[in-house]
Formats: sequence, structure tokens, C-alpha cells
Amino acid sequence: MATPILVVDDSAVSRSITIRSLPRDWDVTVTQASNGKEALIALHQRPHAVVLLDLNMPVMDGYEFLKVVNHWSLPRPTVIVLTGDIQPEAQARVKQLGARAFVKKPVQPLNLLGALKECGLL
Amino acid sequence: MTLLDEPMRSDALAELVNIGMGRAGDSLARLFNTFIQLSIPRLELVESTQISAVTAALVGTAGPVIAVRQAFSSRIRGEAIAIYPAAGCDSLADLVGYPDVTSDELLLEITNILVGACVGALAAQFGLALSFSPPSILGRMNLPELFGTRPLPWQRALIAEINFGIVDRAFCCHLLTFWPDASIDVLLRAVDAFLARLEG
Repeated sequence: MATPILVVDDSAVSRSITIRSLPRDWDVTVTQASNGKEALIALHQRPHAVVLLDLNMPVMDGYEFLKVVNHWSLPRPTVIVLTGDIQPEAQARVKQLGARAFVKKPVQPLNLLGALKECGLL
Repeated sequence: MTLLDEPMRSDALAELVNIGMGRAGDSLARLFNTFIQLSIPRLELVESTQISAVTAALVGTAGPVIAVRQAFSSRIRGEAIAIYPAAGCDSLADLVGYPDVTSDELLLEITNILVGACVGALAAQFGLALSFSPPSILGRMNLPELFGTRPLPWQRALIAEINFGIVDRAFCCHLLTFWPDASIDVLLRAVDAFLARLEG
């Protein structure tokens, strides 16, 4: 069965790069959201196994999104953060908030593959 | 058609600026040894006559600021102006932990780091190698004075604004990069080439 994935980023170009960087032989259905709030709505509508999450976004950023998901009773997705913010402390903060892996932008297919394997998704 | 009329172009450019900002934020975090809060990049296409109003809207600060300028060039040329609200610069040397260094020296160094990382990373994604002028302090002033008197050497420019802050500290930096006249077209072609590679 196809794995449902939610790609959250305020940049359509960035979402497109992420989707193109997914392993070609991985059977997925992709939903897109342009900020944390839209992502929460998408998760309420339908559970997603994986969330690929940007951090700096308007309306609701990635940190706020993680805080909400951390405290709810719905099934929790595996969250991988994809961000241009390469500060080590950004990485530490999101992991503390429950993100399972961290990929630097610009996203490279090999790095994303590594993160998916790290999370036991492949 | 101008650069920003095409949503994918401005989106792609904002994303590339965003990646440059991430590099710059990381360099600043290492200097200050603290977490740096990043903004969401903003892009504006402006006529030289609107520059003061647009800058005021982007920076949005009331009190005096210290402005530092640094130019860059290759096939593309432009300049960066880092605007630091003066109130946040008072205890800068203590913040960095170099009490013997003057505030001006630190602002020159910080500007050099931010511009090199941010504009350098952006240009690298376009395959452009830039050379940078040394940064220079334009002075301590109120924002309207920044462009108030001297005539600008361009008619139209693309401005990218990002800002860096530290939680619980007054320190803040607005980094404005100006890509004037002909450089807008070079930037536009580089963005189109970047988008074409995505399509391919």
C-alpha cells in the first residue's frame, strides 16, 4: 500500500524539490501544505505516516507545528525536518520536539534517502 | 514581464535567499555562541524614488540605526546594507565576549560574515563567483537619512530583506541586498536556469 506523505513548506519550489528527491521506487501518495496550520488540518483529515517539514514558515512555523503534534492523541507521524537553518541548535531543538531526522537544504536525494533509512521507513 | 510578476520566479529566488540566510545565520551563531532567529525572506522590486519608503517598511524601526555597506561584483553586481538598530549594539562586545574590540569593528566583522555567507551562498547556487569590497560604516543615523541625500546610482533595484535576531537581546540585524538595473536580468536568467533544471 502506498505510504501517505505530507510535504510542508511555504515555498512551492522547495516542495517540488523535496518531492523530486524522494526515492523513485518508493510507493507514496503526496499531500502538500504551505505552513504548519495547513499541515495540522491535513493530518486531521487523514493520518500521514511521514511529514517532511520546513521550519521557517509564515502563519505557523515548524517549531509550533511540532509542539502541537507532540501533545495530541491522534497517531503521530514520523517527522523529518528539511531546512536551510543549519545551526546545530536548530537541529537539537527540533529533535527535542520529536523530529526524528534533519536534512539540510538544498535537499539532495541521497541525504533524504539517508534520513528515511535512519527513521526505519525504508 | 518582471521578475516578481512570475510567482515561481519569486518563490525560487526567495528559497535561494532562504538557503543563503541559513548559512549566514549559522556563521553568526558561531560568532555569538547562541541561537540566531531567522526571518522569512522578503523581496521587493523598487524604483529609486521609493527607496526610503520601502526600506522604512522593511526595517520598521523607529530609533537610530547604524548602517554598514558592502558591495559585491562579478557578472552581477550589487550591494548589501546591514542595518543595526543602535540600541541593540551597546553591549555587543560583551555579547560576543571580546571586551577589547570596539562596536564598529564588530559590526564590520558581523556584516562581512553575513554578506559573505548569504550573498556568497546565493551566488554559488547560480555558479557565480563574487568578489566583495571591504565593508564600510555609513554611520549612525535615523533611517530616513540613509538614502535621504545622495542620489542613487540606479533606477530600479530588486531588494531582498532578511533579518537576524537573538532571543532576549536587543541585538538585531536587517540585511538588505540590492540588485540594481542590469543585475536584475542576470539574476532573472539564473533563476530561470535553476527552474529549468528542476523541470528537467
